Amino acid sequence: MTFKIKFALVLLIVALMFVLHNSFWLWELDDRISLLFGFMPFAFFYYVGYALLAFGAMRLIINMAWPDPSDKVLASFPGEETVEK
Amino acid sequence: MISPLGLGILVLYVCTLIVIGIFGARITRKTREDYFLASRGLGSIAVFMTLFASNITAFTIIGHAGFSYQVGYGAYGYVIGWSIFITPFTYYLIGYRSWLLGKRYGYATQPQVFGGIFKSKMVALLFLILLLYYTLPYLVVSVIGGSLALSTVTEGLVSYPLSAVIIIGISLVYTIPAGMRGTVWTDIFQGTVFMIVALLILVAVARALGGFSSITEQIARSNPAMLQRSLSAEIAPINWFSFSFTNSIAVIVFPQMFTRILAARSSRNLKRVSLYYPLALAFIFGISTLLGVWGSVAVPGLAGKEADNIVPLLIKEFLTPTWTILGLVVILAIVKSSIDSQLLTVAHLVTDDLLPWFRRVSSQQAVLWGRILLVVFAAAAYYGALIRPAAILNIAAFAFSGFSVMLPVMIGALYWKRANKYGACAALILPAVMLHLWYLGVLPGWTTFGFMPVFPAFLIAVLALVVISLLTPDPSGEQKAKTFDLFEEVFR
Repeated sequence: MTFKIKFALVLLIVALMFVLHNSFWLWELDDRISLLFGFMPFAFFYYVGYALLAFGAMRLIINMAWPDPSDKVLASFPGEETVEK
Repeated sequence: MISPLGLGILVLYVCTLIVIGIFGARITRKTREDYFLASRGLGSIAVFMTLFASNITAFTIIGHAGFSYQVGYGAYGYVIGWSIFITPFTYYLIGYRSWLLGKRYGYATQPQVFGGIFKSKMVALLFLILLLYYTLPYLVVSVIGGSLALSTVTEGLVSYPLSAVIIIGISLVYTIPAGMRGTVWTDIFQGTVFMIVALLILVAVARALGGFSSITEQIARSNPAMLQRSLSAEIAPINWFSFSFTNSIAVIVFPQMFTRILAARSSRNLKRVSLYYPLALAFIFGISTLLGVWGSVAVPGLAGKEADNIVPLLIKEFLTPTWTILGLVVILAIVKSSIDSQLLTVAHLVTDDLLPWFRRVSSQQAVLWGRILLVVFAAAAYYGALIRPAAILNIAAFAFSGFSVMLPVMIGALYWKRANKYGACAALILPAVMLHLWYLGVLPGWTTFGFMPVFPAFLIAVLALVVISLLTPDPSGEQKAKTFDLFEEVFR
């Protein structure tokens, strides 16, 4: 898979996360199941779940489209003394 | 009256900061790279804690808790929901590519990175002006917020002006001698302190109020609107959507955050930061949300700005005086860890990007200038906090939006080869002007079509970058190669 395709998938993940954040149609659940398990407010729990999802999404993005620089690239970085000059 | 234990906790906290500053100063060398960037050698924990501690301000524990008191559980998603994902994502989107360019070309600030990409002194200057213009009022507001909190918690025992002196003074004690290293090491300490103590306060308040389930049932019975987002006018869907374009995407544009990313040792450090950042943000804002909402039934009847005092009030009403001191330490840690990084960054920006317009500044001279400017900006922030000029407070009110609308230029510079300096200049100037026209009431409210001004201003920035770039000459091949050849080597 080329980086362009991987990056397109990353943008898809971003779009999905944005939609899940702006999911106004789910707001009615605040009333219908206001207390999950009898004690957890849905509006609060949703974002606890969202944080775990964000963790998963970042893991996916890192594994898929965040390459480390190769040794050759790292070797091309100047040292601090050169930068200071 | 402060108990001996409380006094001991306060003394221990301040002494730890001073000792960290002394050790940091011993290691810090008098070179520009070491003083301002800790020689780009920060490990995962250091980068994570310094970004997180610099990101979390008094707003988290004061303003957000007050907002939750008024709005309910919906405040959690409204204020921090989108940030939970998009803030760490921007560390990847913008941060990693900027870090690569910083490593290759020695760039240390946004004016250098984006002025370098566009090969334009004008772009660099615009970045410098806008970043200082929005950061300085934000710094003054941070000092005001921290000082008000400190004087409120101590019930006036520590006056407002003295609170400002304490907050700024302690920050300078370790920032002047140890530079970036001083702020990072103290951020690790202060970040750990405020995370742990805030959790302890939450647990103690929950126990004092009868437990998590009991409080939630009480809220459901007495004020069910706190559980339903659709019942709150403040978080109506159009505001909710617009707010996604305000603080969430602004974080990477804050110069103190951007510079800290450039100071990371390796790509792996940045990956770990981005991975765990969502959990840390959700954790600290979750605590603040719960305390605020619980406060609405435990201490009812607070109106307007009074609600911002809900966390100190909860501690005072339901916990022992020693907890009040611990609460004070949390507020001090949160406030100072953001103020010190802002102070160092504005001193860095002026030293590295403004002074060279007038004179040559050697590496050693840069350190000296940095230290002098730290004192100058600290004095200015103190003066601003005392007189609270309306103009400064007005600018601070839309500083987040101002930072946000600079993001399209940063993305365009790093991803679009066709973007050029003309498009970048237009995309920096136009949305900044429009934001002023909207926020200062020159343009009527209907011209934003019901959205917060940041959203149309963001679209204007995108449009200006694209249209002006396409209408003006393509950047030279050599200029594009300088940036994009490196990316092509890495992102295969």
